[in-house]
Amino acid sequence: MTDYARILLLATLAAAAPDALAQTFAGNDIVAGTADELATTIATRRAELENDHNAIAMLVDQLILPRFDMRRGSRAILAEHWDSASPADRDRFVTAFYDYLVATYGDLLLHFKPETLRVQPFDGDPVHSPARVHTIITLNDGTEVDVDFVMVGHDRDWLVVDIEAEGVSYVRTYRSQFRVDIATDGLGSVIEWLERKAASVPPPSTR
Amino acid sequence: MELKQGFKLGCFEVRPLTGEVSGADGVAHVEPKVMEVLAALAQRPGEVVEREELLKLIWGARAAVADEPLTRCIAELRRALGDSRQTPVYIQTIPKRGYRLLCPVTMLAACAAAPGPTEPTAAVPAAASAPQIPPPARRRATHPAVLGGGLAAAIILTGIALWGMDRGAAVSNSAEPIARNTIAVLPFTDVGGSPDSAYFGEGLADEILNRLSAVEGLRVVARTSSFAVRAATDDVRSIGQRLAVAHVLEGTVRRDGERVRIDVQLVDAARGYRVWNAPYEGVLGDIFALQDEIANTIVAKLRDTVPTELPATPIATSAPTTNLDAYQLLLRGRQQLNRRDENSLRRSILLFQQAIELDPHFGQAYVELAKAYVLLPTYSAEIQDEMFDQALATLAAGVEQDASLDDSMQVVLALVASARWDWIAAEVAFRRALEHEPSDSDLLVWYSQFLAAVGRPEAALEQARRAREIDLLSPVVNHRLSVASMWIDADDDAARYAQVADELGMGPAPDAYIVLRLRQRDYAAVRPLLIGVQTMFARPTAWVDPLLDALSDPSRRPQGVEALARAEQARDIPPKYLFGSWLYLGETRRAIDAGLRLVNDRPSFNVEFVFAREARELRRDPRFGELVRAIGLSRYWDRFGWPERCRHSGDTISCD
Repeated sequence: MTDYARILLLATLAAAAPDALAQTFAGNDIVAGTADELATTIATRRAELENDHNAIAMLVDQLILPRFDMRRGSRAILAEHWDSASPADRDRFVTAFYDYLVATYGDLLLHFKPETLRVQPFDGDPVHSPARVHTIITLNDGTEVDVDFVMVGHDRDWLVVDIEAEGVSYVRTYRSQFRVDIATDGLGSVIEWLERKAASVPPPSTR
Repeated sequence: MELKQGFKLGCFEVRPLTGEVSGADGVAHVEPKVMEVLAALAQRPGEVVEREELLKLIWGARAAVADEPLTRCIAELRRALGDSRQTPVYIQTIPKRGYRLLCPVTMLAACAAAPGPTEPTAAVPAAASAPQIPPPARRRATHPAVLGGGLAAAIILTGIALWGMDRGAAVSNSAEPIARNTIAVLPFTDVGGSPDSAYFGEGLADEILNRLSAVEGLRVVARTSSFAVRAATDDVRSIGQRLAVAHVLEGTVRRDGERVRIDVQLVDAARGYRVWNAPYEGVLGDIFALQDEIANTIVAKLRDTVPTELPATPIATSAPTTNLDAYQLLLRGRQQLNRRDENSLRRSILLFQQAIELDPHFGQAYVELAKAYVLLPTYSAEIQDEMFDQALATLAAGVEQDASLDDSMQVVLALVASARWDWIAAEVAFRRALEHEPSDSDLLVWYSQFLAAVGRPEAALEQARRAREIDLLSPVVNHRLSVASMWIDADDDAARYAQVADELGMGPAPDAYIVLRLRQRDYAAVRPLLIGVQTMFARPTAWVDPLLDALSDPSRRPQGVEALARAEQARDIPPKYLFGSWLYLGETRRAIDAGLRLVNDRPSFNVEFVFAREARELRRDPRFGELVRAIGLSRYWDRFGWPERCRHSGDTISCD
């Protein structure tokens, strides 16, 4: 696994050591809290998770999924094609994309180190949505990478819709890819591709 | 002196054996050659070490041809130390000779007992006017080699994303004489105000800067450069040198309820004396008249010292609003808008909306709101077309309230039209916007991008040069000049300006970096970018090495083509990479097919690349006309003239 994969892993799932100033926005607490919980779980169940891809998927379901607004993120990725898609196709895309992400990234969870992500002071509007949580992730070679979580919500209830590492947006990257694929082959083809990809990923122990 | 075990340089600890440069803000790792250069300078602090000597010492016989590697090492060291070429604290360039280390060097063991970090002491007089020691640079992943990008580069609007604040060291044309008709307006200090009220002093200076920019015969440094340099130093002579201006305007503003007092002074930065200073007092309601009065007085004072003739017509602007609360919301919104990040842009939108609520006839607030909507998709996951529609609706509402908005809203119309490939409308809007704001460096950068996209690289270069004349310290402007230079095959200039942009704090610009590196046949530098971005977003990387192998060794081209075809079939390669890769492999027919699919995602299709030398065969292909028409350029050329390099007959279009 490369450092780049680790960036996304950490950005999505990692633990945090929040700065004192970073506590004024609930989103910062949510990123930090989720990461702490994840760190504890991985530390106590590492052996099991290393040999059971389904266990990792369940962990993602329990800890990560509740913190992501997959539907809103999917709408942002599909952009204009979301509006023209049928409700059934929208649901199918959300599920397929989620499964694809879990299949591709799930086992990277195991490489998570809690001390490598620092939540930065919040500089946005803590009331109006969306807002960004700034973090810094330190790679193995000491390089620091800015990773932002874009969150939507209100009060104490905020969900992640996008992740941006050094200006490279997760949503915009996939939007670009799917926009061309959909124009060429249609939304159904893209969904089938995601489903095939998710199904083709072997358990981590055999990779 | 035995330095291998480590030495202290100002507030940094340097460990040659591990390549570490440690400061208060962390540890930077530098390459062995870079460390060797630093160690060589540290052997003789305060002395000039000749370039030839350094080259011979570190590169040996290979140094006979060029000294570019040494320049790169020095730039890397400056980055690691947070140093500046123009106002050096650590490494001074001695023109045509070499370099001199300005700080004393002490062995690390001896320093260990010292209580806390030690600020560097100038070892030579040259550093006497040096600013405060910059904080050590955090080792950042802003270099393209850390994060990935795309072969075919990004969109015209990528420039918007790069429209960031300058935060780096200065690179001025110090060798050239400074023209007398030049001035920089620094942000005014809000005396007695809170940090939250800084917007007022900045806004006031901005308004005066805009008024002066409209004066024919006067060259006014753009906001990005003048505001950034103020953040770096208070020394006006140094500011004048860094910005290459003869005059500097600075001031303070103090508010007490409705009363406002503005103290301004005009300094001859080149000669080092105050030309004029004066206090202006009034109530907040007088603020627009005060701005005019200050600007008129400055023009009058400069008329005495500037050789070029300045117009005698007084500056007289009409008050944009009668609601001063709305005006202050506008200033606060602009301050946020200029920060160019998602949180700030969203805040600016709220502030402009509030300003409009307070004064529905406030035309400028509509324009600024529309501008924020246009910029937001570049910094967020917002959908471009949705934001553009909001921007256009905002302008329509604004024009209903204030018919005089027509000129100031052209920049928004130009950006929307160019992003939507409505090239004719974009050209018209850009021209009108430039008539209104001829000295807006952002506008010049965008127009340069536009001109490159419509196949006019020479004109694109000219606009980029104009932008740099007034915004020397902007990383975005320098980056643009680098790209524009690349499109006319001035690769050395492209590399030079790219380095300047990097030193000034340019964010990731991987697409241009890749093209430049491939021209230099530096495949090793390109590989981590491609691998990085693919891996980060869970995409296979099997095509990357065969592609780069094929480029470096033509005998391996069949394997590269085969790997790419497989990746295309499996959708393992992003469309914009695919287009660029087929071009590089000389697979023109496949490149045109990929390009025709890529037109479905305009934001990721960098049309500028179609006119690069890498696409020469594409432009000669019989199907090139198909791609040109899909992009919409033939209609634009029919209206504004065909480029000299292009010919058309019926459906066939080809360009050199």
